[in-house]
Amino acid sequence: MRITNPESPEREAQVDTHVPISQVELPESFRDILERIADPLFALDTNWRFTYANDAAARLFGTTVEELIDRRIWTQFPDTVDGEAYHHYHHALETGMRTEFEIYCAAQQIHLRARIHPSADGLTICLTDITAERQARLEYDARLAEKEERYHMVADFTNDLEYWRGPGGELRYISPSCERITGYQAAEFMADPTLLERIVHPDDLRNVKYHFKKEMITEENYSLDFRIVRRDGEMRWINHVCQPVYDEEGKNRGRRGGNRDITNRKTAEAELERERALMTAVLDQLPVGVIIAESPSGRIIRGNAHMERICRHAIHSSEEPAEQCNCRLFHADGKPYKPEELPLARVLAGGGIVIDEEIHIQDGDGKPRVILMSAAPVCDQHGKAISVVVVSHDITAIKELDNAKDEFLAILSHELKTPLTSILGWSEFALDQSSADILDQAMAIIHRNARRQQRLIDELLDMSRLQHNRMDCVMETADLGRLTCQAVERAMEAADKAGIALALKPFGETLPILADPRRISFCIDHLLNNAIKFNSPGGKVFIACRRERKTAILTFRDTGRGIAPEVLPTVFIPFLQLDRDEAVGGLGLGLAIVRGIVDIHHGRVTAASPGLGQGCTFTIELPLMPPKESKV
Amino acid sequence: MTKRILIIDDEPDIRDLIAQVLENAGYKVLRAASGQQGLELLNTAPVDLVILDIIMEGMDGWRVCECIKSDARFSHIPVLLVTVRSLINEHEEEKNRLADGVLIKPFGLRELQHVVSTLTGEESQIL
Repeated sequence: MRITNPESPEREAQVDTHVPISQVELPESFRDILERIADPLFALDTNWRFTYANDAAARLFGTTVEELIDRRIWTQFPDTVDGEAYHHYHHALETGMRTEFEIYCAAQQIHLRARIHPSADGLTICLTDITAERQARLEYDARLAEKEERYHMVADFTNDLEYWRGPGGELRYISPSCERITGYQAAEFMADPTLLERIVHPDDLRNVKYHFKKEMITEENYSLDFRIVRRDGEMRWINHVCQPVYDEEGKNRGRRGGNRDITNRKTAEAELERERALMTAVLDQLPVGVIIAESPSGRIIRGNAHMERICRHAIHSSEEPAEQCNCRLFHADGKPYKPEELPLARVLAGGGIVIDEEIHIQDGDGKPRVILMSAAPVCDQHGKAISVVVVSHDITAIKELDNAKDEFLAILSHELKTPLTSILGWSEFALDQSSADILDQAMAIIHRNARRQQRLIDELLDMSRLQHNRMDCVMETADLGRLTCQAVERAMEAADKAGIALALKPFGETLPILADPRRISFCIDHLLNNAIKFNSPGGKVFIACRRERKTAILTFRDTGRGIAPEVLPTVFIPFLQLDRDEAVGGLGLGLAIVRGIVDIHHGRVTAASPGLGQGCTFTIELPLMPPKESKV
Repeated sequence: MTKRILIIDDEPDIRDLIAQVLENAGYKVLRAASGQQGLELLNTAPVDLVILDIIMEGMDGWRVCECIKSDARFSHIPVLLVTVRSLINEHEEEKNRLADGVLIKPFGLRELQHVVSTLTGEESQIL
């Protein structure tokens, strides 16, 4: 260390009363210790004179200990006056505070750390050669700077908004891409530490603030999705990840935050969610049961409400093992189906597709049901099955209708063939007979049975016409009361034969209706005949007409066998009279025809019964004609 | 010895037709309008053949046939079922098997006589 500058004259004036260290009595042993210290050590009095210097110090200054003692440092090394050391020494002496600083010694080409210990007598200065330590630190700083530079280079060109906050939370870097994502420039963020939080969507701010606070005190990696509002007011979705940054010595250098614009992904997710909701809605509206199972596990991942009704249990993508997650179905006898009995398991096992396999199950109410089940694999682009779709169509009602049709055809066949048997048999028999009595009997039987067939055919044709809205009605003014009286007269003979009493309640006025008298008479005859047929000897039928405002009402109340509550709603439905009384004959279409005719007349026909064995009441309501038009 | 035939049918025109034809052929005929009435008659008089309509009010022909075949006193008597059903399901076929013969309506009179003579173990008495 060469000190060449002259010391300042003001300083010189202050330092006159010192006691040189050479005059201080120090124990020999202590001096020995001082001499052996490898680091340069020296002491100055308040007048800047060397009072002590060890050999290392003398070597550093390029002189001897003797040369130094009692010499003023600023005289010995005038170059150092007003230099860095000069100010540190003065400051330490003035304030009495310990000071430490680093300085380069050009002569020795070494870096020194100086520790100044002030006392009442002056300063004791210890110098340490830190050249190697400093070199290592410089190299480390250079590497760090290089890393930082590389980080900036990457971050500068990244699409994500990258930032780096120091250990105190201060923003140290933000990538230029912030402008693309937020509309604000990097400089604006650097100048305003609150901007990062201010652009967060108000609904997400609380969560984000909590997260930012937490990330400063923990060392975990975090990820968070939140929304920001850009400078132009547009909303963007951000995926934020942050992680602590450490240097090579494991020292925390702050946190790095990566912010990716995931608006497109979020929009796609929302779209996907909408698609899922739509698919669920469609699936649940489908009139067939649908399940979608994973392949090859068989785990059911989707199912619709209809399938749940068929399976009588909830379908969900549970974590159950595949075999337990299989759609549980029960045989008609209540035993559970084994998976291999169902199409799903076979398709999962690579069995191609299954189309319309009829399976018989028991529903939740214990009723048998017939299901048409189809199953097909869904394959990826490589043709590998990824799932299996099973569609179940409940055809129980169709089967019932089919059975009803078969039953109806059987009845029709019976009803047509029975009179045909009599006609053919009796005509064949009569051919060989000469007796007039036998011939007369045969002719009467043949005629009666031909008429019976004609009635059946009429019934069928009427039903067909009604179903196709092609029944012809010749409308005229008629009196419902008179039509009823005529029908009762016609039924008298049959009623007498059956031992049934007909009671007609007389009605004083006319009940004018616009009607086809032949068709309405058919209705009255049919209801009256039913009341007689489904009755027992000694039974009664009460017939009554009345007026109620603008409606004529005709009722037939009988003491007959009645109608079971479950049958009551179906009595007017054609082809559904499965419990039709075979002894009475006919196709069981009569009531359906009655309803069709009454409908054409803008009226209403209803049936009521307290139950089996308790009789029933049929009521026909027809609109009355306005008084002026009604001239019966 | 004249064979006795019981006809059970609730259709009077058909019952009378079968009866007339068989009486002309020399059989003794008993007539019943229902299954119940037929079984009662069976108890009172021995018969060699029962001609039985299937579709009847109350007890149908299959039930009546079951009663006859399950009663040791009558199980040897041949039963001829008469039906309009030519298309029968498995269930009905099973029930028909209990009888000794089935005659489909409408039937020819010669066919009737042939089946009856076979079931009664006689040659046709009309020819």
